[in-house]
Amino acid sequence: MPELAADARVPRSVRVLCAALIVVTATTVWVGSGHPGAFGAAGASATLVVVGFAKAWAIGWWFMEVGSAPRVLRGLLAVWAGGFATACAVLVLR
Amino acid sequence: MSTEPVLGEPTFLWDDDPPAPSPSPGPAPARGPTDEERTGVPAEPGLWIFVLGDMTIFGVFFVVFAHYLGEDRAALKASASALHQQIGAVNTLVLLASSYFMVRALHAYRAGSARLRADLGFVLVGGAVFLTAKVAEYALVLADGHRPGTELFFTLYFAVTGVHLLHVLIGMALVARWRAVSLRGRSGRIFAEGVAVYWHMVDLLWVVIFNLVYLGATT
Repeated sequence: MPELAADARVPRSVRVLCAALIVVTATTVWVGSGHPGAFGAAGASATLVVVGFAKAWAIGWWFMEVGSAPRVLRGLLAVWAGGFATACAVLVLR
Repeated sequence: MSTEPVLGEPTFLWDDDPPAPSPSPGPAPARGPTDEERTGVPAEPGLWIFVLGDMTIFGVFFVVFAHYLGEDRAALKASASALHQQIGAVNTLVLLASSYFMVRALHAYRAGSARLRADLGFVLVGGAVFLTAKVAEYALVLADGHRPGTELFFTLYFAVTGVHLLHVLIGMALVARWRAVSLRGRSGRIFAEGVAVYWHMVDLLWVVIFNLVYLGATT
């Protein structure tokens, strides 16, 4: 099998992110299946929502390569994730 | 870098790179910066207007869902308990895996590696598994008597997952097109990066849907 060119390899940051997303997904499934812990029901829901948006931001940053894009695009992704996460968390916690 | 010809692509949003001028005698003119070198934006800026607009529409839905969840948690929780979280969790991991293969595919494309077609094939397999699991989940939910319009939760559930499923189908069609083009030559950079960005957007939206609708409402 021919050796791949260096550029064809998936960056280490992406592989680490994949592993982290699997761990976070497993943890959130456990919390979301009746183990809210000290958060309480509303607190757990809000936390799960915020974690969901954090995962979305990470996918945008590394998978969609926004991290190496101009500042305006990085800012728009952050505003989207941060803004909607905050709004949803506040509404859930009412 | 591959010297294969650039084949034509759909012109929707990401028109192909302009064709190279025919060779002429005399010194070669200095090459101007490519779109990517000029803007640093994956694919092209116009695509991002569409992507961010689409994400914002979904974001408004998420706010609406969170509003109802905060207003009447007990009612939504009662309905959401009929969901099949395991299927949603499997689909989350399937889309994550497909996103990984899409990253591999884009790197293979840029390096001119023949691995591209196999990676795009894995992405398509991931999309097909997601589609199959989603149809199975719909069948189970409908068999339990839950329909859009009968309960608020399931109205929201079918609306957002249905629109997302449409995005999955569009993404699969684009990936299949990219793969078909790659069998005959080399596709344009803007098209390749545009398909990758779109597919990752499908994954990005799903992780929020899963955490909000499948997990957040049942806690």
